[in-house]
Amino acid sequence: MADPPRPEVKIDPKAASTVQVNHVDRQSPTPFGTGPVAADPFKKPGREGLNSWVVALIIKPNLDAALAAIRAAGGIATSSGGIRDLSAGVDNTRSATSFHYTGRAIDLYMYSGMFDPTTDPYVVTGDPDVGTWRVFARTADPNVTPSTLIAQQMVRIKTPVDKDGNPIAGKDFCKLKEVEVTDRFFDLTAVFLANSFKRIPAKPAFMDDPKARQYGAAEWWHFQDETGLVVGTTTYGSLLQQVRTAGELKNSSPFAAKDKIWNGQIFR
Amino acid sequence: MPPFEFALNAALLTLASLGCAAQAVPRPRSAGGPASTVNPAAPIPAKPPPAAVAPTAEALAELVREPGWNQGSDPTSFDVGSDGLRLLLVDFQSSAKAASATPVSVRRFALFGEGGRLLAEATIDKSAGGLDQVEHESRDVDGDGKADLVFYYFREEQWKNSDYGWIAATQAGKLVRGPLSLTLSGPHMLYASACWTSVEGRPVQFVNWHERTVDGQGKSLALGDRASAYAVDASGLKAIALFGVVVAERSRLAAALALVPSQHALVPLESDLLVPDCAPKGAAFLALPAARHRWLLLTGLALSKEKAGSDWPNDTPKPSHPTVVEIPKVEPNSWLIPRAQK
Repeated sequence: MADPPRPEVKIDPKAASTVQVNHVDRQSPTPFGTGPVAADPFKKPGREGLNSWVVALIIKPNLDAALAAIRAAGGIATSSGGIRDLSAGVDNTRSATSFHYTGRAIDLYMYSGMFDPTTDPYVVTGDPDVGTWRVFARTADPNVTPSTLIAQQMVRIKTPVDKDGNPIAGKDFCKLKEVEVTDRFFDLTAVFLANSFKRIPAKPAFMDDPKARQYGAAEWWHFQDETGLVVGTTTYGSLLQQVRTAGELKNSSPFAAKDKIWNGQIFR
Repeated sequence: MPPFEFALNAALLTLASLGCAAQAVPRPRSAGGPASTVNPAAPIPAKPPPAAVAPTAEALAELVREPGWNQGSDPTSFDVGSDGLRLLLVDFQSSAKAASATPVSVRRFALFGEGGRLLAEATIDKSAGGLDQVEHESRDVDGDGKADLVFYYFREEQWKNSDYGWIAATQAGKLVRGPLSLTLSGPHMLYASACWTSVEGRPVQFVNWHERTVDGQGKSLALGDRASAYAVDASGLKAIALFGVVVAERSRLAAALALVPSQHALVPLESDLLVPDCAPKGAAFLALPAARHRWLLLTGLALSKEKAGSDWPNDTPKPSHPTVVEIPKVEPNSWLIPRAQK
């Protein structure tokens, strides 16, 4: 259940007096700010995950708990980043009201799964035309019974074309093929969900054309913490204010969507 | 460090301390040096000491490390031809920002002359948790008859614009950079597909630029294609004009393609990494569908209007009404990598 709205109290260090600031729009509890969380190293030729995520402090305990569970199960947690810079632009792989701007989302390293299912730390399963993934993590734990999964593997397209036959710029287009893999796995999606992190479906740019899927829109790597959000009430701006100062938010593109309201799936 | 390399380094240091190899071994960079793609270099000595031992890749990496960067990872050196030129490839990470947000990682290419003298260097950004791939091949890019070393790189990620291109270490002791992606104003981007060919005996890279933008809803839109061509000369990478022959509108595509003989099969200009030859078995012969103008540009490449169409294959029927057109150039203003200075 979400915490009720409450005013924020700030200290003015110069005046040494207490200033009460009413944020009627702030439905979720503090703390304010962000902090780093260490990720596990992942490095293969040409592929290298980040060594951390920077996330909103309010979700840090949940992320710590999820990572502890993953590591206890013998898996690793790779990173492609957490909070997104306010100046990062949007395109068909980046939503204008992404949880990443609020520091409430993490990306596993986007090339640590779907790349080589026989060795990747993660195996991605699910129907690509539905776009909802279930991710399994590889474990060396000998107590885990080996199982067989139908993995989705990306196959790069060298010369992608659109529906009119015109070449599409960029090199991050792929098709998918199914690969049967047998190894020791545990359900990573379930571990994240047990710790308040939900998956999201692939974006249309990944699903619209099975012959030219934009890999950056696959989103199998994305998990977000929606704790404290109230359907029909929580605004996007209130979440941004939990991680960014007013000065940072002023004139930023994400803050232009500050009045959009959480509908249980997206802000609109 | 393996004992053998350690011994070599120790020997080098001993030589340097005696003044024997002082000219041959570059000094580590001093604090406050620029973190840009260019760095100064000392004058090249007339001849390196004959007994000089090539520094290890780790030792070379230390010479091109900027203040505030970490030790560097995976330093790898490559011989460029047989004249003692070495190309170092090494990754660095800025330690200054590592603790706060996303660390800044770069990949540095450095060209060393005999005895480990720094000649030039180039630096590209690495992705933030994306894909960073490099492949290389030997190819004469400047037409001097000697094989140069060409590195094709691409960075791919979802949070920043992708970056593709190549960096060639020539046997003339230069680094030349050719981008295959360009960020324009606003959300516009140019991505290229390219191939190497020879025009009038000169190595040329033929590039087809795909222009893309993002609309108000965040959807990617293809705006069109344009072509360009580049050659490497003494001053570096140079955009040159090419001339082709327009033979058909898109509606006549199939008929036009039927004119192409089998040995000049339509070449795919895209490649994951390596930029292929346009027509390894014959004269350069390209077909480019241009989305915006709905033209098929079928061309025998020429550097001058006078020669335009003159290399049309003998066994290929010429189109009935060929029109010589100039392929518009893309003028890069910062593609050249100046010589390093010390």
